[in-house]
Amino acid sequence: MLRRFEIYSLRPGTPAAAVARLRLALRDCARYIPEVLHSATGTNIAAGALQLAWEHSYASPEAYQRYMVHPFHAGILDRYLMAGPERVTADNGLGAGIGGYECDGPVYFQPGGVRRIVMLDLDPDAPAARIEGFAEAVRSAAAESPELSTSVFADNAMATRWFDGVTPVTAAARWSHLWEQGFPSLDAAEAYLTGPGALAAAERAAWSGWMDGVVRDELHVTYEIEPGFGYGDGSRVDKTAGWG
Amino acid sequence: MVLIVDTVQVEAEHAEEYLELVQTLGVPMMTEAGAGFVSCATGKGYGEPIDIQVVWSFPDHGEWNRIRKTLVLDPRWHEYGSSTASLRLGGTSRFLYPTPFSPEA
Repeated sequence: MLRRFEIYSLRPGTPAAAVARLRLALRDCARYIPEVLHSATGTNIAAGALQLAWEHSYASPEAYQRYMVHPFHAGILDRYLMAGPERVTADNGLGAGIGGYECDGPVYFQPGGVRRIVMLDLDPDAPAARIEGFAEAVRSAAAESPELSTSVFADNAMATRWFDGVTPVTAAARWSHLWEQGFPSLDAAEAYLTGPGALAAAERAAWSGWMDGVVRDELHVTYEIEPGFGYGDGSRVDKTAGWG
Repeated sequence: MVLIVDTVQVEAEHAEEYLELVQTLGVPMMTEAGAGFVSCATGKGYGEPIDIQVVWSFPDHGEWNRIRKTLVLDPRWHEYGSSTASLRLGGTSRFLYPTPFSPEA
């Protein structure tokens, strides 16, 4: 599967009704493009310039390619996202516009609660063993922190493969890796972030010195998941067992 | 065939500058990317904002996806977007599909 995120800043002064139309178009995407799975939006409550997140996925690169050429994508989504008179979003230079990763199944599945996307710039010169060590630390965090209902660490492959889901069309991504987290509630997210876990503590310390400085930079968003059309209704590639 | 119909409103004093951007930046950029340049037309205004309509064409949405990629990777497209945005008051951009009895069909 391909997991994908688009995370935006909003153009100052944009009418609320226009932003609402964009949010609806994103959540309604699967109504018109059946290849779009698990589409949800959220309003970032973390500090910073990022305001609106859209999370979704595809069963395969071929499914993603059908999304890319669908008239709803060009005619409705791009109306609000691309340069044009009705654009709602704004450039921000943060490199968070498109991201995502490959996965074997809907490991991210969570049709409610809280999402946290941690975008990481890991040292490209770090030995592979150190990157794997980071991945292992994430796996340990998920096992040791009951608040984490979802935890996926992966290469941010979709940042450069946005054209067809396979071929890189731009230079290396601003954020090399993603850590997608899920929590049942904002209280649970807060409990994790302020808790005793090693990675939570490292993050509170701005990753300073963590694993010989493997984390060069980090950016994150946190939002309550607003599920879109068909998310969790059992008619799609859902992994509902264990949720809630 | 698919048409993109961009219709914007600009103050009269900005109309000439807007049209120059379309002619010198928009047309070469879009046609080099693979879009067809169909037409550019203006209203008279008569004290009201000037309507400017630019129409582009392409064979189908697969081709548009390739054109779109080229545009996104072209620095001129970002310059064109910000420059035209600074001049227009508002407008729409619509993908339209010729009816069977249309000459363009």
